[in-house]
Amino acid sequence: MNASLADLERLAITTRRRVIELSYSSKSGHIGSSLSCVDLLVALYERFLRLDPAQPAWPERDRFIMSKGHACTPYYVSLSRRGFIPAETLAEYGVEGGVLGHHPHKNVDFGIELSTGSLGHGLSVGAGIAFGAKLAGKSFRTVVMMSDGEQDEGAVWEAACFARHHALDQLLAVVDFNKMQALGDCNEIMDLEPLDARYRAAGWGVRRIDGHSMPQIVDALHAFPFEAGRPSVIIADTVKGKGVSFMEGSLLWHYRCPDPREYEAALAELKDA
Amino acid sequence: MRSAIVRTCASLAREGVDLHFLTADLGFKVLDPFREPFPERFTNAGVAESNMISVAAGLAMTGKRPICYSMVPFLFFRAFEHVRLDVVAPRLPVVLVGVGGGLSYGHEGMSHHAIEDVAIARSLPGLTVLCPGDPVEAEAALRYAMQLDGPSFIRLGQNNDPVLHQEAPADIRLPLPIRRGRGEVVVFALGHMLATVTEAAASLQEQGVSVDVFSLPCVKPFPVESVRQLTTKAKVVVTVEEHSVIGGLGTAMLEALHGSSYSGRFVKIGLPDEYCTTHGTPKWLRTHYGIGAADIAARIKELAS
Ligand SMILES: Cc1ncc(C[n+]2csc(CCOP(=O)(O)OP(=O)(O)O)c2C)c(N)n1
Ligand SMILES: [Mg+2]
Repeated sequence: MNASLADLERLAITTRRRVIELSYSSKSGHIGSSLSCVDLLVALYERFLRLDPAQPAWPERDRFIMSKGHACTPYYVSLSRRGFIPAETLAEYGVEGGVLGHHPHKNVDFGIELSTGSLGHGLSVGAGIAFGAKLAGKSFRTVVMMSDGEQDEGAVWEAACFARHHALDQLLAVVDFNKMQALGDCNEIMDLEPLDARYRAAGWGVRRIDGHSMPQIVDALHAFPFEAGRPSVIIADTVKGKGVSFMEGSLLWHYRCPDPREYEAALAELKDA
Repeated sequence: MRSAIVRTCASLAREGVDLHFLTADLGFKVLDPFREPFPERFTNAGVAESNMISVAAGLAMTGKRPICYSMVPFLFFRAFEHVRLDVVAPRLPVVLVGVGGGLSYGHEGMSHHAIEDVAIARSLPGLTVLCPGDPVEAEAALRYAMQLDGPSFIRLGQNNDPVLHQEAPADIRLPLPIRRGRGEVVVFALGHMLATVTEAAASLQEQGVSVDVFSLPCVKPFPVESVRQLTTKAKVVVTVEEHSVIGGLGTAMLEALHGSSYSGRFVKIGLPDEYCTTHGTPKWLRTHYGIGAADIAARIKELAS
């Protein structure tokens, strides 16, 4: 929990490499979606979430929900690093009959609190957990990572209203605002801007940051909860495919799995780890 | 089958049908053959399925012929009450096209699988439920759905299903013959399982077991009379579906045979009453659940002997 900023930045590169390797070995897609949230996940797992792999069901643990479940690889990698998912299990990602599929399946021993894959459920479940903690007088925190396309779902805004109404100040939402969804740019499909103002209008404490700047991420996490008596949200401006030049901002890499040449080229860009 | 549906949408638009295609942010590239020539008839409603369905209801109320497209779980399960109340109850001519029926999204896991949809869809009053078995049937299903004066649900599998019919079926509401045998062992396949069943039948033929194979794309309204006729000589009737054994084709068949003169054996082959907790390609998962071509052939051989 006391990794330096330089450590976190190095870890982010290692995680990106692992993301590429896992997609390549399993022939799975969603690389762009995964690369955009790596820095956020690394900071959350290394500097924020209070967890204990020796007792994964520890009742006081912080809860993390990967609501954008299609970006499962950096999530699995982070859980593996924190000692939840064994390295052998991670290596079997995407293998037929294996336990780690292309969307997270609930497994508290592995640190996976909720099965996700259908967008727009995580914030409601997270609000319920935070509400339960509050009713029981517990102090653990609940964090939900969502995508920007996910903000299209009405259920997200139902949850946002609920969390504000019940003053769930131990709830933190993180939006990976990479400006792209499945068929194109968010602002051409369903314009979300100004997203920070929308959350503010819903009564949340809001911070809008560069989701690839480790200092800004750590700073925001440090400031949680942003406002007394209100849920908090980090709107993280990110780039889909961040870290590999030919994947950045490219819709194709929502789907594509690298061929051998692309695989080598991607890894070559993710050096000095 | 997806491509056949999209191609047919473009043909229908050219033929003058006032259709409007809505997607809930799915169909990368596959939808281009429609989206490119008809941008004004295409709307990406975002990752907001419930809203999309009710918007389609509203569009239908202005005289448009909406087609809603997404993966079955998001299109149908997530938006269910919107389907039920805004589309089906008022009998609006909205076509719901769901991709990924059954285990088609194998590795993606149970959030993306649909093993209960046919059961639920069959129970909705006035909803026509079509599960085409190949691209030819898919085109016929959409053409049929588009001239209905009421709601319909078309359940598709993956995109690379083989073409199994030589020509367009005369009537998509009826069981469609794929292979004729002696009428003693009659197998009905639901939707994209047709290819697997055809493969099983071919291997049975080599083993000297002759079976009749029919695709049964229209599970509602169910072709009760034709099914009864086709099974008059039968000793064994088998249904095969990539769906829970509860409430799908097998159940519909049982309901149809009940009260008929049929007195032979009846077996439904489908998925067990449980959620999938593993993952693999659809083919791998079918074998895992004992509904792969080899499993089907073995089951039928045992029944026929
Ligand atoms: C309820 C629901 N609808 C549709 C999908 C299919 N789907 C998977 S990812 C995605 C959109 C991807 O864009 P975004 O949500 O912005 O996530 P990103 O990959 O950019 O992080 C869609 C529509 C889904 N998983 N869940
Ligand atoms: Mg996005």
